[in-house]
Amino acid sequence: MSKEIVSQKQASAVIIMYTLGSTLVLGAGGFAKNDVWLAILISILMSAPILLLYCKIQMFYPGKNIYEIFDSVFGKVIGKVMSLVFIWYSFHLGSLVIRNFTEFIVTVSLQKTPQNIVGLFMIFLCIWAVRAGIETIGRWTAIMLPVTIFVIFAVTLLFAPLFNFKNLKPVLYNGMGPVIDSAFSVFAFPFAETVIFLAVLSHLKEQKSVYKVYFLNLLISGISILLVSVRTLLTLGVPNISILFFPTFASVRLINIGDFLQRIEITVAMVFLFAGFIKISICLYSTSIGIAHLFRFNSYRQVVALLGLAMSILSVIIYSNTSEMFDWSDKIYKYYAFIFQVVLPGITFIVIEARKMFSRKRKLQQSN
Amino acid sequence: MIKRLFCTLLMLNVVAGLCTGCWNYREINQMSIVAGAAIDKISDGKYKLSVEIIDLKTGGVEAKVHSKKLECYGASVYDAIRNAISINANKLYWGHAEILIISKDVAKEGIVEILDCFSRDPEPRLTIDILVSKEETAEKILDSQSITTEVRTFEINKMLDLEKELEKSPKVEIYEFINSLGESGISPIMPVIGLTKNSGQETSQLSGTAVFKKDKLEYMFDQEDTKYYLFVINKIKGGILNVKGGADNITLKIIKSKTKLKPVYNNGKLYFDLNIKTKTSLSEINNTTKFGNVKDVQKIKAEAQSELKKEVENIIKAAQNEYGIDIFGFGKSVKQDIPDLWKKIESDWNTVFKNVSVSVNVDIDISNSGLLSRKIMMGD
Repeated sequence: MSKEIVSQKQASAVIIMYTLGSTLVLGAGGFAKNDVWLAILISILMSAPILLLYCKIQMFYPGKNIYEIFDSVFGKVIGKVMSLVFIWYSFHLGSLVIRNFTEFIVTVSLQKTPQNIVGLFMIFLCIWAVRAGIETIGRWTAIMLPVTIFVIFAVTLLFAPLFNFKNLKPVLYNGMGPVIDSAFSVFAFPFAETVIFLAVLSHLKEQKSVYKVYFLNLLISGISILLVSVRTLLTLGVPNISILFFPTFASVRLINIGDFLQRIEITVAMVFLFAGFIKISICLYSTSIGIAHLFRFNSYRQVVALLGLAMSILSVIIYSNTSEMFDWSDKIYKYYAFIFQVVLPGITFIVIEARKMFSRKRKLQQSN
Repeated sequence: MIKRLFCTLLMLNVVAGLCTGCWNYREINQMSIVAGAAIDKISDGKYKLSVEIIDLKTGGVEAKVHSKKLECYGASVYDAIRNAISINANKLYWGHAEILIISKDVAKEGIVEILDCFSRDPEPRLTIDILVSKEETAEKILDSQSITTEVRTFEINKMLDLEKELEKSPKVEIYEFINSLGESGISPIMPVIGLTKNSGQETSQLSGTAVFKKDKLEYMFDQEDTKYYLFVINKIKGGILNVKGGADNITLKIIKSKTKLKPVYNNGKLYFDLNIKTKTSLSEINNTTKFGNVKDVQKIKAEAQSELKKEVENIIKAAQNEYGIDIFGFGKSVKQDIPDLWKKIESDWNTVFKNVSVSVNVDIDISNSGLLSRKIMMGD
């Protein structure tokens, strides 16, 4: 079977949609209170070097996905272990995202529907998409991303009458501590989660455009997340944001323009779901090709359905209630994810560099 | 190929079975749509909820919207809402609720559980307007006569919306109340609703502002004071200004108004600069008022300015001296503009607030005088 090819535009669309994913639902950097904008800006700056690292790793081995890179960098045995760690992260992340979305749907509207039923229907769609291949996902996202971005910006305009700019003050009332802390949160979720794309971007038409894909994503999704967080702060105010589980959704419910344009939150929730669908699909894709690589299957498509169902089951048993989910995503996740987002690619990068230096030396010795 | 087709058909059948309806579906004829509610407490500490529901029965060519009142009791607010089923047979649907009236007795005991119930549940929206009833029960408000609409609470909602032309009652939505409750340096307020007589029947009337300390009702003040209070917090969008200077009786219509509150910390002393800039037009003068040239306009302007200044100073003094509750958000403005100072004075803000001086500057601009250039002439 010929290799799937994704254009730069499609890849950018997918990665932007992925980054927006569950961030739009859960909100970003709420812990920084009035300084959420600062926290997000800092986290964008923090993300840049890490994303550069991801690009560098991909560029050392153009056309290879992360699992193949692990194999050629660490050798067969350690490479497999590394692959297993990476597979676990994409699998776990996928079920976390499913849980976020099912929790959102069940809390907000379908209160009596069992969570696993909602999750099951989401994962069915994702399994279908992943089986259809990354090309299909790319084409779908290239169409839907403009809609998503349009809704985000258009809804922001509708918020204008509700803005209270005094909510931005006082700046840095509690010092830099909480700001850095929540900048780190925003870095771990969502910007550095794009590490999963090391398993996807080997399908790029031109491997060089990996830089463009990563940094265009940082720019566009960074601006969108900043916009959404700031408008939520400006409308709801800090006390409300601190107590609400889904502040973005709650703030959209406030929109009422002339008793005519109101109750548009379902439109916005739909957009959330588009982004979530892409995020789950990419996690499922990464897991599947990892497993297929590990066990030398001919095609990853054999395991997609199985892994998808397993993911949705894990999403149900992973937390016992909503508070646990938010405790995890606010407090523990950033440290947990650090291993996969920074340590693992960091080690890979160092080993690649070391090997390069070593082989250069050997070449020099040979030529002497 | 045939096998594949068969499989597809089988799958489609299975999926079709799942797509027949929603899991927990609700039809419109199985819900009672709530328009608004009033909350009282009865003697043994139970909540009494009076709910106005929309009666969807249509009859004849003209389908008019009517309303009905439900009374239900419960140990908590949510319990009372659910207990409505025992007399109504339909579940209440709160998605369209607009008004929540809280009786003054409940408000004195604290309303945080009411706020909690209505903001925690996903059905009611955070944009419900909340009011305090000054009658002995809040339920009485729902029983009063409706004048323009059939649904009592929708009419109250419209009255609140139109307050921007009158500005004698604030309009407070649940999320705004939660915001002022949560911030330091500002005390939350709510509009007050009471009863009045209209052509022999009792009807409800918005009548001023209720001030809360934390979540407990402290005191209320009347409509006129509310207008000057709204001047201080920069919420004036319209309304009128009445000026009485000697025998003159002048009415100015407010076109727009902007108030800037600035805390100043100078030589260890904190004071506030309150600058009110109002654009008005002349709407009514009496016979004794001189009006016709620039000089007269200047005179009216000066009178109006000193009058407004006096009233605004009075309302601030009253809040400082009588109750010591910061309803203007002076503390909040210190926190926003001089955060270092706020860290020091936050703990004893209540005493600082009582003694802080506020310098009020009023600038009223009379931009036109309607269709008439001078007062109506009276010959002999």
